[in-house]
Parts: sequence; structure tokens; C-alpha cells
Amino acid sequence: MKNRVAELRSSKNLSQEELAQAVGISRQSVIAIEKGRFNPSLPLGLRLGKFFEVSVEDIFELDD
Amino acid sequence: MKSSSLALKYLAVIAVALALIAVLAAWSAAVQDGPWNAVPRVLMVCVVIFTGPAVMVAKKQNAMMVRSDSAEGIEREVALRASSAVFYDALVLITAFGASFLIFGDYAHPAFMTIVLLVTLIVMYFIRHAIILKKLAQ
Repeated sequence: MKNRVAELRSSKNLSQEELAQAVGISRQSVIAIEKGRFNPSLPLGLRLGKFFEVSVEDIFELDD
Repeated sequence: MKSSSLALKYLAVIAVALALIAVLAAWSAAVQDGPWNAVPRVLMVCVVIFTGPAVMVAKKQNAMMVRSDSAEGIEREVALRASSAVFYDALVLITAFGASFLIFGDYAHPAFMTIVLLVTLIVMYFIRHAIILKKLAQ
């Protein structure tokens, strides 16, 4: 699954630690999500969407 | 930086425990056969018993600080994968230890073999945990 978490975070000028704190996970979790090595749970995906003010589909995309 | 602060907390807890044990040992040696000779020994046992929970409290505080206790974080995933991998390791190791006990049973005590097996599995869990975490988050 591809995602735009790193892009959206950069657009808000946030550090990984700040994003992690905002959505209630560790910085390591943010690193793993951004690298596409860890797929977040649905509640976490929804929290990320709410935080970035976009829909979940705008952040996450299934691989072809 | 935060992992080093956790290590410092662990070291601080252990250093305080060792310092208390040293003081109590000195006290114990000083009183020798006096009426209070049991007190330092009992306190030493208490220090040893409470050091474990103190380390766990430090670990829990650190987990809350870095939010690694979150149910949705990568830490749960890593713990799950490491546990699963170590389960298969355990199946192989128990078989290997059983076979080696049949061969070297006369030389090694069963309790010793069991402790070696348990320590090996605990070490393997931490190694697997570190490898999986590094693979996913670095």
C-alpha cells in the first residue's frame, strides 16, 4: 500500500516526532508508515486523515 | 536520544540498588551478631525484590513518553512478529535440547538444561525484536 504521509507532513512543516505526538503513536511508527513498511490500523488511518484534513483515500492507495 | 535516556534510567535504578545493597552489606558486617543483624539482610532482600518492578516502572514511563505503548503503533506489530518467530524457534530448540539431553543426560542436570533453554529463548526474542524493528522502522 502506498501513502502520502511524508508528503502531507512536509507540506505542514512538521517533524516526524510532531506528527507522532499529534496522532498518538511513536516516531518509529511514523517512519515505518512513511516508508510503506507498516500499514496503520483503520482508526489510525482515520486519525491521520482528520489531522491532515483529507480523506483516508487521499492518503492511502492500494498498489496496482 | 530517548533510548539513551531509557538506558540511563535503567542504569540509575540499578546503581541506586547496588549502592543500597553495599550500604546494607556494610551495616550487616558492622552489626554482626547484634540484635539488629537480621534487619540489613531483610532490607537487602527487599532491595533485590523491588529493583525488578522499579526497572519495569522506568520502562513503562518511557513507553508512555515515546507513545510506544500505543495499541496502533509499530511496537505491537513488532512484538507480535517476534513472538511468532520465537514460537517456531522454541519448537526447534526444545527438540534439539531434548535430543542433546538424551545424549548428554549423564553430564547435564535437567534443571540446568531448562534454564539454558529459557535464557536462550529470551535472548532470541530480544534479537528477533531488534532485527524486526530495524527492518521496519529504520
